[in-house]
Amino acid sequence: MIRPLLLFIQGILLIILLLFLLILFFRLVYFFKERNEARRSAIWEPVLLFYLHDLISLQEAATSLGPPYPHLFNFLTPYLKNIRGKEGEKLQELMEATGLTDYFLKKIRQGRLKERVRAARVLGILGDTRALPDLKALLSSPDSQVAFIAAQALSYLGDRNMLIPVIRTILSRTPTTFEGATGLTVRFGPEISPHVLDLIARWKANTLDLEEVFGVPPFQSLSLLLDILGHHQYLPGMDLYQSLLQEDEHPEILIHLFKLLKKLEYPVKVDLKPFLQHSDWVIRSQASRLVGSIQDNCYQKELTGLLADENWWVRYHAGRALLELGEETLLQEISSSSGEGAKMSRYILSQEGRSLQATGRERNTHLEGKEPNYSGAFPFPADGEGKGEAPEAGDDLQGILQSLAAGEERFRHLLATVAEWIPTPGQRDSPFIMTLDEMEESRSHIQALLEKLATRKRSLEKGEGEEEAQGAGIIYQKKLLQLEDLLLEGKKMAFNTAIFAVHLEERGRALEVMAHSFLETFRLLFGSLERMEILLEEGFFSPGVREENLFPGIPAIQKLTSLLTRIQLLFEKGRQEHSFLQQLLGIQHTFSLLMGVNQEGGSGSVHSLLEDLDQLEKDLTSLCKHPLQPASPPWREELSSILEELATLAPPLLKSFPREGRGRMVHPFISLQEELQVVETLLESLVSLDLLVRVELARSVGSGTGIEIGSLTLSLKEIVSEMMGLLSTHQEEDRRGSGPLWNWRQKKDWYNVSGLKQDLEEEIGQLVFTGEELVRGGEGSWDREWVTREISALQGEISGVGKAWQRVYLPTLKRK
Amino acid sequence: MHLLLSILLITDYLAIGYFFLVNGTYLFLNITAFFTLRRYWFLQDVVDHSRVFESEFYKPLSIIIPAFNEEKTIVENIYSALSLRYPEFEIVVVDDGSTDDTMKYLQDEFRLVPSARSFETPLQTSTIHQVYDSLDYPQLAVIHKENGGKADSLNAGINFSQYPLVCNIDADSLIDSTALLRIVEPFVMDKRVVAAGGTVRIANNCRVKGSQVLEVRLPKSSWSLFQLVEYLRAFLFGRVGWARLNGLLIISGAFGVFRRHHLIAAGGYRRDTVGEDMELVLRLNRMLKEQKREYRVTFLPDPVCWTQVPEDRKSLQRQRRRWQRGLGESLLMNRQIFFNPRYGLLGLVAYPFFFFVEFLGPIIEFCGYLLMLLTLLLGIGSEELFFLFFTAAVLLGILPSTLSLLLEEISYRKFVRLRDAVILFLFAMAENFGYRQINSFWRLQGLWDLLLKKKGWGIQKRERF
Repeated sequence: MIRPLLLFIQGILLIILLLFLLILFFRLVYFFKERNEARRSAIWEPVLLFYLHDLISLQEAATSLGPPYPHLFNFLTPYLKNIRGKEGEKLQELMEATGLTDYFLKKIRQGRLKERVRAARVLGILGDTRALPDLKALLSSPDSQVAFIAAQALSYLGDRNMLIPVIRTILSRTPTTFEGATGLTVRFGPEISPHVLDLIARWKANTLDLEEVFGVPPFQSLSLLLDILGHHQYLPGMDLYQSLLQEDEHPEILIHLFKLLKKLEYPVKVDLKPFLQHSDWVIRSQASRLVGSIQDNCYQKELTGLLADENWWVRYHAGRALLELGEETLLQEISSSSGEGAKMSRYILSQEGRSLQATGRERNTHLEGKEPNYSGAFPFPADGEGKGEAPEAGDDLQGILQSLAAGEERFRHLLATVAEWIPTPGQRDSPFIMTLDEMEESRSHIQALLEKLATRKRSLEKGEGEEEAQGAGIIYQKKLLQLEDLLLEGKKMAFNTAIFAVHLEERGRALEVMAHSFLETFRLLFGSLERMEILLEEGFFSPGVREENLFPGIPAIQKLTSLLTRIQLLFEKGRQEHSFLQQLLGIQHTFSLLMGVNQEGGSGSVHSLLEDLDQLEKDLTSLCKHPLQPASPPWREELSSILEELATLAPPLLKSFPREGRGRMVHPFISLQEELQVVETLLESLVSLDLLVRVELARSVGSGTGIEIGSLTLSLKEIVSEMMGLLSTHQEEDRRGSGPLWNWRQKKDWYNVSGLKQDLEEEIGQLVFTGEELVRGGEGSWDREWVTREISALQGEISGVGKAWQRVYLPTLKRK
Repeated sequence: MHLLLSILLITDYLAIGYFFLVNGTYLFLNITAFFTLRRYWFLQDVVDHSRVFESEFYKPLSIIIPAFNEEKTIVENIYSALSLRYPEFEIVVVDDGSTDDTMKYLQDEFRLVPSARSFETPLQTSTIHQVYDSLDYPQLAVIHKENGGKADSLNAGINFSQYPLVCNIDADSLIDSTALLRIVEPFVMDKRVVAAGGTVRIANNCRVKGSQVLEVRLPKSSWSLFQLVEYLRAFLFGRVGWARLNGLLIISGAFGVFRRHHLIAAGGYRRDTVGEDMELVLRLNRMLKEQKREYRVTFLPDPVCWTQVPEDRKSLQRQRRRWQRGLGESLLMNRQIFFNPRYGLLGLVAYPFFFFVEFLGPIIEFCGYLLMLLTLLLGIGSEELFFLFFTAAVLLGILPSTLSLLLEEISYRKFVRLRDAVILFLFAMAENFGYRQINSFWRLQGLWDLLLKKKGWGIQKRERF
């Protein structure tokens, strides 16, 4: 017994020691691995930058970058994600030339399973279609996770023929949720939409068995297909969607149909009443959402009824829909009644910051006996209630005291009124401001009365007997002390609230400016990269043409011109209806502007194009919704096809720009964090400016400047990175509630951020100008000295931005 | 006498058998965890989390933070939650009738105003005094309610939350900024997942900035260091291993995500136990098994929640007694699972293991010590054998801890200094000389509390981060 136990102990001891040694071993391994990776990255980074700036050839770059390939891929991943257009293509060429793509192709064919899966992911990201057969093989792997990764890679490749196998695999062989499946399949891109629509149409015509194709009950695959179409807002299927809505009864399909229709925001001809009264609450709520989004005011009665639905979400969406239909008055009425919908109406109104009626406020069952103070419920004093003028003070002591008492009462009332008021987003023109004015007026009135009392006291002292004067003095002192606290409180409150009011105005305005300036900077900086990407995506011109002219804009204009011509024809057809015609005129006007701007060509035209297309998209959507639109106008089909074309043209153009939706800025109550994010984005664009300047420099001065320019531009990058670091630190501190920005806000003078914004704007403007000058100067004559001098100046400019940044931040940092 | 000796001998052999069974299970869990972690790291490497951000198909989530007398940590905790990277979430702080300045801190810091939000109350809770919205953070709401305990607060939060997923975090914890993205991923990728838990790590002495742990340092006190080793062991292999076997019985109350409709269907958290987190998971298991549903309760090793652990003996003792009582209450409240083949591995392996090892463990351990001594005194076994057996027990105790340290080293390597690794190893060894025995004694006291039907949480000390 002892011997085996002894052996056992020795064995365990040995294992423990071995494990400890392993811990030390892994520590060393990771240390050296990380160090080597850092070293390699330090060598690879300048090589990559020089190559992207045409300072070294593809061959030279490929020789310097090499195995280990997994590390090389990790190193290149951030660039792959962020670089598009010409540089993106160059990057792809470089990956080919280094042997990276071949390495992963080899791995996907011959590697171990893990290597194959990793390679699948990489080749998917690289978009290399040579991997297609191998990815297909991986898709049929018995391991569901491997199959999922293969499906993911295939979706990146966007091959239409792979849609069915991918969906079949995801739905029938992996435990992926519906959200996961949709999230994956939409990556095939909007181009897949006609194919998806065709599948549904064939199923509806009984020429395709969805269950056989996808291996799951039809409602599952159909729901997924509808989600894909909804995600891409595919309008041409509208008739099919409506017929499905009329004929299909499966709740799941109906729910997804409603989601799709809501995304389209297109008028629906089908009677929605049965859905608003459906036994399934999800359908009732989705139908309510749809009615709200398409703003169809035929269902007001049903929606009002749904305010008292048994399900919270149905009540909520019915309320929202009524609000979106502009039925605010109706909601006000219901909210002040004792009806069943009152509670939800009050909630909806308060959410929107709408004023509630004084009676019938929401009372939660848990809140019995507690009168909640609703945001948006401004208890403005009724006429004559504490609002009237204080009686005119007579010169006698009694009269002054009476007036003082009345003044005090009024002031107290106003104070209570202001104290009760709870600011809510969107209340910019609140009566609250007026009450503040009144309070200030009342305070002055009391001050005047006190002065009058003091004067009276003095006059008594002079001529009307010491005893009375002493009495008046005591009264005066007493009154003064009594009112002092009150006035101080009022002053404090007025001050705080006035600042708050200023914030309301200023923050909103500042954010508009900031957002605007961000957009402008963004467009300017990314213009060159974006247009390359956009035009390439749309296949407007060949790479050869791109080399000669960065943005001729001609093919885009040609395409838009043809659309304009077609719209003009429609204009002729549709002019019978006056308001409809006006909308068409609006579209024509947009097109005219579009033509005017784009015919000028040049680098500035892309963002105008984007804006105009956005406007056009909105106009056309609004046009289609117009109530005067004939049920089946002769030009409808043509309009649909134009819309279809626009649907493929506009999204890629617009996708890079912030649009409304989740995460949009809340005006004017945006949090400081969000404001800082705007500034941060501004700074990020500065980093891109640095990149742009480098690219332009490299282009204009040719290949020969070598290390000098490289090191200078890298130091520019460092300066910008430092600024970014500083911003991040402050942002983190602010989140924690302890940094200088936070202190600013506490002191109510945080708005110094606007100074920073102005400084940044100025500096960036100057920087851009200098960069342009630099590029222009470098084009004609090659003067090494001049370039070096100009780069130094540019470096100084960027430092200037850093200093501007510090000017705003450092004083508070020191204070801290 | 002869009979007594025979009984003693048989009991000794039983104890040895129990001892090897327990350690064998730990070893098996370690191996399972190792392979699970390897696969997990690999999948993390090939799945792009940033995609979740870009997609509209994520699931919005409500974070519920119950708070009772948390004035020292609540603000930091909420900022930590506000800074989480996740597309759409709301934070519901439930002040459970704090008697300190928790509400005042909240009001001052987040500019709270009474809310008009309407919500249903499928779960019964104590009276709610008021609900507040924050003027600065639209996604933040605070419920001020009558004191009713943690479970009651969580139920109030569940009632109020409006999103399909619910995440519970403790008010004395900080969450890593990407933790939510990671912990929600299984809910998108696997329709069978009904609940997910994340790793809890120790924040004592760590450098915290911007409500995020920036630098992981070893705690200063020995009590915390022992707990650090315990936490590594429990989370890195215990929970990972059990989750792999689909036998996870607990999702820490400090950080767990559930589907809201399941919580409501199960009747929310029970208010009559201090082990409400474990009890809920057991009840969820029962409910879903009864519904004959295929489901998963999953555990993810890297979504990290940082928490403060007791620094002094008394607080630690209180905590351990409470945990043991909670464990017992939860197991007894769900005794239908015990050796019930209907619950598969959960009923046949996980529940019995928790019952015999985690719940009755302290009794068996102490009986073991007594019997060994008795055997020795009666001269049945040799001193040498006793010593060797004790040494083997100690070494087998050290082995899982060392394996956890190795797993930590090859995975997350949060402790960057070599010195830290050595200190942790030393504490993993030292743990078996005194700390383990004291801990068993506290757990024994917990069992006694259970027998006395003691209620309540006791006083909990908090420090600022």
